[in-house]
Amino acid sequence: MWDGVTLQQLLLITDGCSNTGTDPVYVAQTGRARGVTTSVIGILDDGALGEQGRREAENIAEAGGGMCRIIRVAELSHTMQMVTQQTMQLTLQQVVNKELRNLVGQETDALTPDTRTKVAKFVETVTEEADVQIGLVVDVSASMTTKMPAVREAVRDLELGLAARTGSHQLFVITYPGMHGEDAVAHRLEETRVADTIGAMRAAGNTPTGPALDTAIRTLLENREQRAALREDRTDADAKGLRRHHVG
Amino acid sequence: MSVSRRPYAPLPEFQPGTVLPGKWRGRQYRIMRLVGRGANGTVYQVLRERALVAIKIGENATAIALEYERMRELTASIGIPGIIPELYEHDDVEHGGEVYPMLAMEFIRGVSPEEFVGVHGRKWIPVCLSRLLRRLETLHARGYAFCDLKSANLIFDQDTAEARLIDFGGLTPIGQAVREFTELYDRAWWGLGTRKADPHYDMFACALLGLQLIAPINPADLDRLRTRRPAEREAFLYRRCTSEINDGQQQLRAILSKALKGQYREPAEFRMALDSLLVPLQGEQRAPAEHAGRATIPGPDGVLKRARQRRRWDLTDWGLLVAVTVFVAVMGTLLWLGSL
Repeated sequence: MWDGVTLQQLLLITDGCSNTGTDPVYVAQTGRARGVTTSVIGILDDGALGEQGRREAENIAEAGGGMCRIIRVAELSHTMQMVTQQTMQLTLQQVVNKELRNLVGQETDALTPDTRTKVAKFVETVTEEADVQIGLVVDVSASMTTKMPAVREAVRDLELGLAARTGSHQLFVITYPGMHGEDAVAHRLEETRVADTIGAMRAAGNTPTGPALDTAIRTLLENREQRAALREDRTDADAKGLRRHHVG
Repeated sequence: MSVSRRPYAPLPEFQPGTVLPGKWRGRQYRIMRLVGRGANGTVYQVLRERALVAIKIGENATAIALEYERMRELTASIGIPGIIPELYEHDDVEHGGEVYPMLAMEFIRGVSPEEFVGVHGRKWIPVCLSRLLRRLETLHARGYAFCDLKSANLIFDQDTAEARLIDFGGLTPIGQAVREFTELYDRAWWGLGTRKADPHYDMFACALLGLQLIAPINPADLDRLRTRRPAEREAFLYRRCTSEINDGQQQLRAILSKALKGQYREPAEFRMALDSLLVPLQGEQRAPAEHAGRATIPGPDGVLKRARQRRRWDLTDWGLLVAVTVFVAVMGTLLWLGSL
């Protein structure tokens, strides 16, 4: 059951509120229905987050089954690391909870501490070993300009943290709005170049958070299909190889 | 699909005097004071069965369960007390209709490394680090790295200079990814290695603690470095290690710099380098800040000098003599009366 588990999650980093396109809360909900968790980090420093943005951030995270953290830019790096890791844990915990409900009619929190410890150890092992795909959805609208160096270093730092894990990881960066008027642009970035590319992003205009999340979800899902197809190909080839071997 | 419940209930701050009942084991915990905020939760000093202990209350049941389990395994593996805080129980506490995961452990008294060095002087820095390394070696030998090593997770006994690690939320099996860390003490953040748990990761943090004890890095500098590339952070750190800073700590700084660069093969080698700095300081006056009569610290200068000096006969000694004489006289009289 846990062999080749791939966890897919989005992490939205913004300092404002969406003002155009589809409702991001709805998009996060559709993502969740297809196995993509969405968490949100709202940045406070001289942004336009406000009460409205804060509420939107919380609602997106709730609909997306992830976490929401409102922070100062100095805490970004550490928060990104923590949110990514805890969201992985949370996603696995939810799967385990579902199984437990089916099996014994209880959730982990209702278990005795001793039994819970066993579940926790299991969740921890899978967190370390599972393959993860992370889509960072980064708001690059005008008010984010001064924060981009911090975002760049936080992305680099996240990559370092992911690289230390036993399981594999893939990082996608989706920036919005696009520099040429598009809603969002997805980048498949390799290794440490991720950070430098993102640092160079500058854009002005609207804040199409919903369409950006949509692009991100599609990017992750397409990738999942490609990987699944690749795996099938390999199994097919193996099967053929096996047959040839038997015939020969 | 229901999404009504938030993943983790936000953790309230419990006021002194609040009594938290345990859900599974029936014990009660009366909050005395807040001690600090650790990686996985908030630590309070509480009254449990008429004794003062520490409890950590978290939001994340998995994290608390795991911290308890790691500490339990490690305690069983080490087998002797005094290295890991003694572990009592893992339970849930109830308050205002919510349930929070909790673990109870020994409350450790002592002072922060900064306070210790502030009172006893900078010549104690190598002693503190050396003791800390010994502790870490014990963990490494059992296959764990401490990882979230920082000043706030370390306590020194005021009198014996014994080092105690207090927050094991970051404890990680060697070879796995580090889960809890603080940027200032993180090898990867400074661009000087990976974020995998290994003995060198702890050694790096230990060396950085040494630098912090000599002269703390300005928080404004740290904020500035957050937006710089790792190479710039690395250069900043090396500048702080140069022997050109003339404050009498050049030798120590040279050793710390070697440790930061990962040039010691193992913690024991780093420790021995630190120990080589401890030479008897002949003819130097003991710092007046040290408490004179109570010197139980076997240290760089204490033992030798005490051997040479005879204690002065003071008022306490006279008091004791009189008390003993009176006691003997009274007992003698009683005995004599009894024999009549």
